[in-house]
Amino acid sequence: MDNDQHFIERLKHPATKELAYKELLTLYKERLYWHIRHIVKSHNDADDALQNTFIKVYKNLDNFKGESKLFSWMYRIATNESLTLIKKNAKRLHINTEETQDYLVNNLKADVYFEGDDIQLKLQQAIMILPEKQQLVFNMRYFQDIKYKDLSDILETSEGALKASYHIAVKKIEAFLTQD
Amino acid sequence: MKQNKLDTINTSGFKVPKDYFSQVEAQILNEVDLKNKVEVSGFHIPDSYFETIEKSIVQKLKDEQRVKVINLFSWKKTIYASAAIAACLVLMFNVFYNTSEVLTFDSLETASIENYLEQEDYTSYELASLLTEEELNINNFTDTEISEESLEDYLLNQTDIEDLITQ
Repeated sequence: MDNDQHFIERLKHPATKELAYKELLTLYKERLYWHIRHIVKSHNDADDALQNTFIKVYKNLDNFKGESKLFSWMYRIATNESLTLIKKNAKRLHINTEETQDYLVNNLKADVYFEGDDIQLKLQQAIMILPEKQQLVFNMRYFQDIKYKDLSDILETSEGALKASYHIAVKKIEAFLTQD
Repeated sequence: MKQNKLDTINTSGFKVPKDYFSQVEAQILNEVDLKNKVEVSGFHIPDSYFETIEKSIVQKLKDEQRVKVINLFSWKKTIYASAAIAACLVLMFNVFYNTSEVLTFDSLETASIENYLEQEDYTSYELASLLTEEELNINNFTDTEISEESLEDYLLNQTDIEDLITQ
């Protein structure tokens, strides 16, 4: 957003806060939803994480210093909320990281809002065995077409490193899908 | 002198990383293959989810703010609690400092001592042990004048005639 500064001021000012926040919701709900959904996989978890994200955004608007762009700040909150939710679920079920992947796959199979074919389920399995950072880069680049420049801002990593991560991820997934 | 004419510049100065072209080909092919196999994630959302989500979030925020009013950490309670603790401390200090005050026989009423002596079970030996030897000075006997009358009384009442005879 080009007029980021002006928008942030409106978000912070008590008189314009409510209206600006609603604009923010309209503007980002879908993008953040898909970002979250690709991390947590099931719709119900995504719904929870999305609501928590926006509530956290609202509560922390006054602390937002504008050091990074508004959208990358929100993406970071969404990422943290999603990863926290997964960890919380794992803790609740007393399962380790590997079992969490199985849990997510099963969750996905049971999710009425996943109408994937076998190949799509396999793609998700391939993504889940990647390291966390590669998962994030792949999901944001492959499904959401986020530019490397913006990715670099969100994940606080250099563009070069992100490109390398992405290509490694694509290669691994491609290998996983063709292995049998 | 070397002339920097256009026809003498053979290269543009642009360079590419080592093995760039072989790598970029593999990367593009990988991605194209993957996109051919599976382009979409298969994730769906409930009908009109995005239309209702804004309302839910705004409502949730309102609920949270309303809940905030009934704060678990109430200042009133804190003030009462600290007042109670302060009062207890003051009371404790008072009790401890008061007990450390030295009690003297002067501060006791004579009647209390008399009552104590009457009621408590003690022997004359115990009483005698409280008296130091210095107090039993010979002068007490020589200097104290005993009237003849009291001496007579004492002898009449307390002594047997046998005692006087044996001595």
